[in-house]
This record gives sequence, C-alpha cells and structure tokens, in this order.
Amino acid sequence: MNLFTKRAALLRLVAVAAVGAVLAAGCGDDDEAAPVAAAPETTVAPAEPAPAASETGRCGDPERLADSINFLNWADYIDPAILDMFEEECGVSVTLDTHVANEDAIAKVAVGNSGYSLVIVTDYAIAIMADQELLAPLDLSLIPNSANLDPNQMSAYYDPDNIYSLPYQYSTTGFAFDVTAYETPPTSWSVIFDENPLCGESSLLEDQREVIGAALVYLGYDWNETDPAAHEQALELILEARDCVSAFDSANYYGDLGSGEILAAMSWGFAAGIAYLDNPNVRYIIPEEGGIIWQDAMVVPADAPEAYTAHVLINYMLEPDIGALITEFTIGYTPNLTVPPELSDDYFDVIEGAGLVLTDDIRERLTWQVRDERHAIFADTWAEVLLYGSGPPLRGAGGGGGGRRGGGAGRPPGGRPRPDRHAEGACRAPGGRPRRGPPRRRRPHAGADPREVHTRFTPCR
Amino acid sequence: MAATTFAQRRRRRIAALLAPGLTWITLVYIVPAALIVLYSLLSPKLGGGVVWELSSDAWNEVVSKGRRSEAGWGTLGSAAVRALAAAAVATLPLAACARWLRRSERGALAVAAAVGALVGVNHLASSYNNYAAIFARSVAWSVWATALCVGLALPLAVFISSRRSRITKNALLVAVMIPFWTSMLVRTFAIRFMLSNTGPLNSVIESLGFDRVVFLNTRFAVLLGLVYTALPFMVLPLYAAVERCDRTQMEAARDLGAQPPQVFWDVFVPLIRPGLTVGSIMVFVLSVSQYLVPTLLGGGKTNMIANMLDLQFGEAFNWPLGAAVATVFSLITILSLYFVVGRRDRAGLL
Amino acid sequence: MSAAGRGPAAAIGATAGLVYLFFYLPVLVLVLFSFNEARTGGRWTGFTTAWYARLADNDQIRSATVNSILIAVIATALAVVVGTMLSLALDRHAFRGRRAAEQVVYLPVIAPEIVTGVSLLAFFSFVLSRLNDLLGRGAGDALRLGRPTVVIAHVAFCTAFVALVVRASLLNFDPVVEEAARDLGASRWTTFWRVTLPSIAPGVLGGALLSFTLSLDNFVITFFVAGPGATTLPIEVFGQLRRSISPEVNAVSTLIFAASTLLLVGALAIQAGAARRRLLQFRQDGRPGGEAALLDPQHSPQHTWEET
Repeated sequence: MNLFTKRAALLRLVAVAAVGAVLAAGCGDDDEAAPVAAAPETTVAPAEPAPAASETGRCGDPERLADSINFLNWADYIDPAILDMFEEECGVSVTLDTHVANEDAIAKVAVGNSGYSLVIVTDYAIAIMADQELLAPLDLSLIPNSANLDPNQMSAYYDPDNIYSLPYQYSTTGFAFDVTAYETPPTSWSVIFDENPLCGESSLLEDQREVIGAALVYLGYDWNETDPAAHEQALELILEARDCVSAFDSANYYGDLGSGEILAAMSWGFAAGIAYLDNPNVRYIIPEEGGIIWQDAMVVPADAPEAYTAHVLINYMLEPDIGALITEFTIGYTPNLTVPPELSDDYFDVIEGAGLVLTDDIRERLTWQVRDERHAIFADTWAEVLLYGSGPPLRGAGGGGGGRRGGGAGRPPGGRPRPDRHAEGACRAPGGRPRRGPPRRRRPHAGADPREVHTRFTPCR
Repeated sequence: MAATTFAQRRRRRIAALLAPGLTWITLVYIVPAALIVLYSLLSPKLGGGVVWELSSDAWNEVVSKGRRSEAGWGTLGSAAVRALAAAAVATLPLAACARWLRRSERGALAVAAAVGALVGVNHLASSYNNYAAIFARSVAWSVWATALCVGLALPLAVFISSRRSRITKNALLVAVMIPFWTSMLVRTFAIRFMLSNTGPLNSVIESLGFDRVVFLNTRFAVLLGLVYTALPFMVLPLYAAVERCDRTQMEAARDLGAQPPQVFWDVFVPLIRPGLTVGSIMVFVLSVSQYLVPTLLGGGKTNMIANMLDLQFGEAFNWPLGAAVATVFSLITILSLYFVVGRRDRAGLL
Repeated sequence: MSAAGRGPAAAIGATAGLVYLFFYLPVLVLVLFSFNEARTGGRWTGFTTAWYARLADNDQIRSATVNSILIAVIATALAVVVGTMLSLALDRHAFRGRRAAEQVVYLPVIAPEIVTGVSLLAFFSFVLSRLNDLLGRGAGDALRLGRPTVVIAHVAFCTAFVALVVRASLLNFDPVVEEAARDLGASRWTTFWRVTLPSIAPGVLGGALLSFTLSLDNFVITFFVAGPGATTLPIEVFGQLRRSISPEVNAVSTLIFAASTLLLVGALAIQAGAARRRLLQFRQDGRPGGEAALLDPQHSPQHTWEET
C-alpha cells in the first residue's frame, strides 16, 4: 500500500516534471508522497480497517485517523521500529523527518503550513513556539496515557499548565569522561575551564547556552545569568579553554568518546550512555557547580493537518511498551511512570554503569535553561568565541595554545601513556548477560516481545 | 504574422530562449536576495524571522569591532613582520623562476608581495574577533585553496590530456568524477576519520616512532577539506582548456628555439587561461562559502563565514544580523571576482 | 605535453597518481567501513555484510536515496533544457542587455550557497503563505515546502552550470556550419537537432553530469528548502552525524559508488565500441561515420588524429 502510493506519487512527479510545470503543479499537490487524496481529517476511514480489533484502544477512533502523518523529531531519537509498529497497528503511515537543532525545527514550523502534525523539540523551544502562537493546545481527553506521566516532569517552566506539550524524554547536561584518563575522577568543571589535563583530547559542546552556562556556574553565577560583566568573565574563561579542547562539538563527540578519540567531553546525559555502549570506561557526572536538566516534549503545531492523528500518536508513544522502546533507544530518562518496569536490564546496566542514575542529590544541582529576549547576550558572547582566529598552528602536537594567548600549553610530547582501553570490553558486559542475536527485521509480528526489536544494544556479536 | 519583420522574429526567438532560465534564476536568486537585504534593516525576532521595525543594529554589529579586540599595535607589527618575511622568502625562488622564464622580475615581486599580504592578513585575521577578521580569514584560506587546486589540477589535466586514446582520457576524467557521486558529507567524514588522533595517519606516524600529530580541527584539516571538495571543479575546466589548446603553437614556439619553461609560461599558460579563470572562480566561490568542511573538520575552532551565518540564522535567532553578514559576504565575493578577475578573462567566462 | 622532457613527464604522472589517491582514499575508507562489524569508531572488528542486509529494511535511508536521485534527475532534465537554451541565446545573438543577462545567468555560480539557502527559506515562506491565503487552502491541503521547492532551487543553480559548460563548447563551434545547413534548406529546428546539438553534445552531457552531481550532493540549500517527506540523502546523513555515521550510510554510499562506477564504465565501454566501429568504417570506405558526422566538427580531420 505504502509502496504503491509512493510509486504512484513518484510517477506523478516525473510526469509533472516532464511537462515542465513543477512550479505550476504546486507544492501541496506533489510533496505529500503518501496520501493520494489527502483525506481531510474528519472524513473517510482508512482504506484498510485497523488490523487487530483488540488494539483499537491504542489507535483511537479509526474513523478519524488519517492515512499518513508527518512527524518532525530530533535526528536519531526514536526507534524506527515504533513507527512501523504504529503503521501496522493503526494503519497510519508515519513520515519521519529529522532536525538537528531546535532552531531549525522552529524555523520549519514558523514558515507556516509546514505539514508536520507532530514535532518534538526541547523545553525552551516550546516556550518560544507557544509565545508565537505556533502551537495547538493539546486535548488531553484524547491522550488518556498522559495520566501516567511523572508529576516531577510535568508543569515545567516552559509550559506550566501543560497546555501545549507533553514530555517525551528528558536528560541532563554534565561532563563525561573516560575513567582511565584521570587519576582521581573529576567532580568539577575545573577540569575543562581551569586545569585541563587532556589538551587535544577533550571537547566542549557546540552550543551557546550550554557552554556559556557551564562557564557561568563555574564562576559562581547562575546558568541563565545575563549580566554583561559576568559574560565578559565567562568569555575569558571559554577562550582559554578553547585553546586546549580539541573541538566545540555536539555531533561527533559521543562516537569519539566511544572510540577513544577523545577522553573527556562536556556531554548530554544520554550521549554518555551511548558512548558507554562502545566504551565501558565512560562515566558521567554532574559537576558540583551545577548542570542543567532539559526535556524534549511532543507538541502539535497550530496548523497541523492531522491534529487528531497526532494526538493518537502521542498517546501511543506514552504506552508503557512503546515508552520502553523509546527510552532504550535514546538512553535518556523516561517521564512516563509506567515505563520503568518495562525497561530491560541492559538499559539499567548502562544507566548504573555510566553513572547516569538521577538521584535527588544530583537533581539539586540541576537547573532549567531558560530562554527569552533577555538571553540574546548569550549569542553575542558566543559569536565572539566563534569569530576568534584559527586555533592551533599547523603543527603542534597535543593541540596546544596557538601561542597567541599562551593559555593551555600543549600536552608534553609523548604525553600520558595511553592504556589500551579496548583490549577488553569493546563489546559490552564481558561475561555478563547473553548477547543479542544478529540484527532482526523490524516490524515484529503481533505478540512478539517488543523489546526484541533492535535497540541500541545490538552491535555486540 | 506575415507582417512580422525579421528583427521582430529574432527578438521573439531570443526572448523565448532566455525567458525560462532568466525567470527561474531571478526568482530563486535575485528576489530572495533583495528580501535578505531588506531583512538586514529590520529587528530580530526570538524564534527566527524579523519584526517589521527598522533598525540599524545589525549593520552596527557587522561594522563595529568585536567587544574585545585586544590585538593592538603589537599584533599589527607582528603581522607586518610576518608579511615581510613571507614576501622576502617568496621573492628569491620567484625571481629565479622569472629569470628562468626570461621574464621581468617585476611580476615575481608582485606575486611575492601578494603572498606576503596574504600571510599578513591571515595573521591579523586570526588575532581579531570581529566580522572583518572572519571575512578576511575566509577569503585568505580560499585563495590558498585555489592556489593549491591549480597546483594539483594542472598536472592532472595535462596527464589526462596527454593520453593517446580518447577512451583512456574519458575513463580518467570519469575517475575524477566518480568519488563525487557519493555524498560529500560521507567522504568528509571519512577524511575526518583519517585525520583523527586514533586514525590511520596517526597510526602510521606512531608506528614510525614519532609522537602523534593533531591534524583534526586545525587550519590544515580545513584547508585539506577545502581542496578535496573543490578540486574537481578545477580539474574539469582545466582539462577542457588543455584539450582545446592548439598544440601546434607550442611546437612552433619550440621550433623557434624557445626553452620548455618559456613555452610553458608564454604559450601554454595564456592558452589555458580561460579554463584557469573558470576553475579558479568556481574553487574560490565554493571554498569561501563552505559550511560543511569547517564544521566537520574545523571542530568549531576554525570557523568560516558560513558558520557565522549558521549561528545568526539558527541558534542566535538574529536574522537581521545574519542578513547583514550575508549581504556583505555576497558583495565581497561578487565584487572581488569582478575586480580581481581581469576584464579580458571575464569576457571569456561571462 | 610531449613538449616537456622525461623528467617533467614523470613528475606530472606522479602528481596525477597522488591526486587520484587523494580522491579515492576517503572512498576506500568508507567502503571498508561498510563491511566493518563495529558500529562506531575506527576499529576493524571483523568482516560483515549485515549492514547491507539492514539497508533493505531501513526506510529512512531508502526513501532519502530515492528522493535524492529523483530530485537530481528532474532537476538535471529541466536544467539541461533551460541551460542549453540560455547558452544558445547568449552565444548566438548579440542583443541589448546581453551583458546583464549574462551576469544574471552566472549569479548562481558565484553566489554563496548558504546565503541562497537562507534567503530562499525566507522567500518561500513568504510566497507560500500568500499563495495559501489567495487559494484559500487550509492546513490539510496547503502548499508547502517539499520536493517541488527543492527541485525549484536545484534547477536554478544547475541551469547556471549547464549554461556555463555548454557555452564553453559553443565557443568551439563554428556557426558557419549552421548557416551552411540553413542554406541547404534545413529548417531551424532540423539544424539544431542534426547539426548544433550533435556538436555540442559533449558539452551538454558534461553539463548534465555536473548538474546531476551538484544536485545529488547539495546539502546547504536543500537543508533550508526541504519540507516533509523531502529528506534527501545528504540531509539524512547530516542528521546521523550526531552519532558518528552509521555503517548503513557507508553501505548505501558504497552502493551508489559501485552503481555510478558501473554506469560510467558501461558508458565508456559503449563509447569504445562505437569508436572502434567508426574506425573500422573509416578504414573500409575512408569516411568517418555517417552523413551527420560530415557536418560534425568533432570529426573534422584535426580532431580525428587523437583517435588513431
């Protein structure tokens, strides 16, 4: 069905192009691959009845479901199997597009008529979008599973009454490192901002709010401080740290931590968990000065073409089994109280092994990252960081200071001996639990244990 | 119908040929560009876009220096010293070259001065953190990349062109293109791996008993990436030019007693000049607006203009500032091409 | 360049070899990684073809690949037609405003990509919202960013490159031949098909190849103008970079690499066959090719020496 309509759409597109009338043929007409006659949400049932009658509870009212829905999520942030399962159970095909920054997602939605019916973005982005009337209020009567959500994670600053959003996953920002790289495990941001022993082998996030925020808390200010004098100091600190860290990087560092390319990084919690899968020496801390807690949440754009179906999908993702699949894939924390019993031991092994357990003690050190007009100063400060010259000179083992600031001197030649961290444990849990088989086909048959669907834990072999 | 004159029909034919292409390009390039210029004069809006209130903040930010320009006379002086040193170092071999080519040393001195200026600008640009600096830096790196591309592409073009059979030539040309059919992102990522601390290059270096070298996230990596990305755009036009150039002229020059260097410089280079121009323009423009290369290989520490645009249009939610930077950037690129590339060469291209 | 002696020739050959090595090393790396068991990192842990098997299952990558190829094919087809028309108009006719037209045509070649992407996003959002208001389209059937907007953007820059390349081959082409054909009674259209097009065919083909490559590989502009369901391969890959590239991406890149190699090698083989036949015919009756070839300057004596 899906394949057929896609092909029909392809052929149509080719034909249209051949006439040379792409422009005239219009955008709305061709860009939706799936629905041949985009069904207005209130009419006609899907061509095929929902397969399992017993499952209709998870699928809402089949009369009102659309054939397809466009879903915008963070890249690599949902097990694709879930979307296949949803299609199988409810007959709705989900087109997943991904974004790599909240700002991109906001821009896409702000254009108007983006076509997305469900979007997942991070806390502060929701506040901005709600403020600009880009979001539709959620009808919680259509999302009975919202009752399962952790009150601690509800009513957050960005949407105090949960009018527009329901939490999807949450995690923290802190510091991840390879335990073998330090004599005593670090507890403070000072290992990045003051005395960094790992020049050329540590990284900071590429994010204005988080890097500057960490520098601010290290200096004793609030993470959300907007005072120019504080920013001046933070800038000084970051520019000195900059000479020593190998990169400002939000994309590759977890792969690099896993492979040993870098040994320490300012990191998101879930990313440390993913790095731990490849390198069991990875540990994660919230430095004593503080870190942040953040939450990705599900929202429905005000101009969503399939708002009802989006509600059904939100409810579906709040099912305990689905929630477990999501959390095992992202290695974040679930805001859904019915999920933890469903989570595999593998997940908890990672959380405990990597030091990701979120205790009340740690929660005390976490703040939310707020963003409104006043925080434009972060962008100014960050622009100055990025505008600065070209880093270390061409040669320069250890990525030492480019001479200009003389700050972090390069690692002495030869450096610290590098223990072979991969001799054992490249695969996880030596002698631990049984390994998983080869990657399975997704789209399991009804009744299959959903946890058998491929998760982050497959690469072991 | 019968009354239409020849001139009218001709005009209509020209219009019909031009209309679709010009309309298309105007719609996609010129109209949006006008919108961008307009945006640069408005106020930023949290979440992206603009508030329709006139404001000159963006332009002030672009024009005024960064808050912290600690670089003072000392930096200027050291930049001048470096520039002079580079020019002096470049002068000797260039002058020797000129003598060898039996040309006046004036040209050599000009080139040496240009090299010195480039080095000086580059050093200066690394010491300031304002927009002028990042513009200068991006332009300087792109000039280096263009020069390197010429150095690599010319031998390759000559090599391909000197094959006997057309089939071999085509095969070699196609071999230049094939890698570029796989995603540039994936290949850049492969380069990233090769240059990494734990990558193959450093494995070789370490196995030879040396300390490993940080390649990644340095100027070297960015320059390498720029050259890798843009090289085919130099090879193809150069090959076309080499192929097109009339060998009999070179033979004639040789028969008349010219030495190989002279043949190269006085006959060959002028003959391939159009290709050289086209290739240089393409490489320069591609390089100066690179986003992926500095992002993936520069690690946020060696940024180019595109990274600043990305920041302003993305994270910073400051579209007017981004628009102002984009406007200046486009002007710099386009104007520099118009001024630097001589009128004659432009006639060949445009 | 037999002009140079042996030394320079060897240096040229060595440089050429190095450049090819430079081109292919990263490709080699990604091909190797597509067969590596490890999911992340640079360690070789064993040979596997599992990533290829998983590819069949990976809807995201598959639909992105299809999108990429589809968009590149359509954009190239349109750009070749429009670009060739442009270059014909610019080369053949002197008219007022030609210089201005030329500047416009080559604007995409010199305009920084990221500026174009950003300004197009602003432009499309402006135009689409007005259009939707005008047509009274609501959330369900609104015109929006998607594959058509990507195609529109790609055609614009592809057109410029096609025009550039075709123009270069027109420079070599003597319009006198066209005039001769016209004098002999051929219609304008026939002249174009039988005389002009065959002789600029290499340029047109080159332009098509270039625009296909550019479209297939474009990231920055596509990133800004893509909408739901229009994710192309570069965009998909960029998303994956967040977690270091997945072996599936390496696998699909290897497949694309293999397919394009096969395609181009096949084309070369056909060309070689045709050349051999032409050569045979030439030897048999002393005439290169058919009648069309007589009119084709590519086969004029000064060019055929390369083939013999």
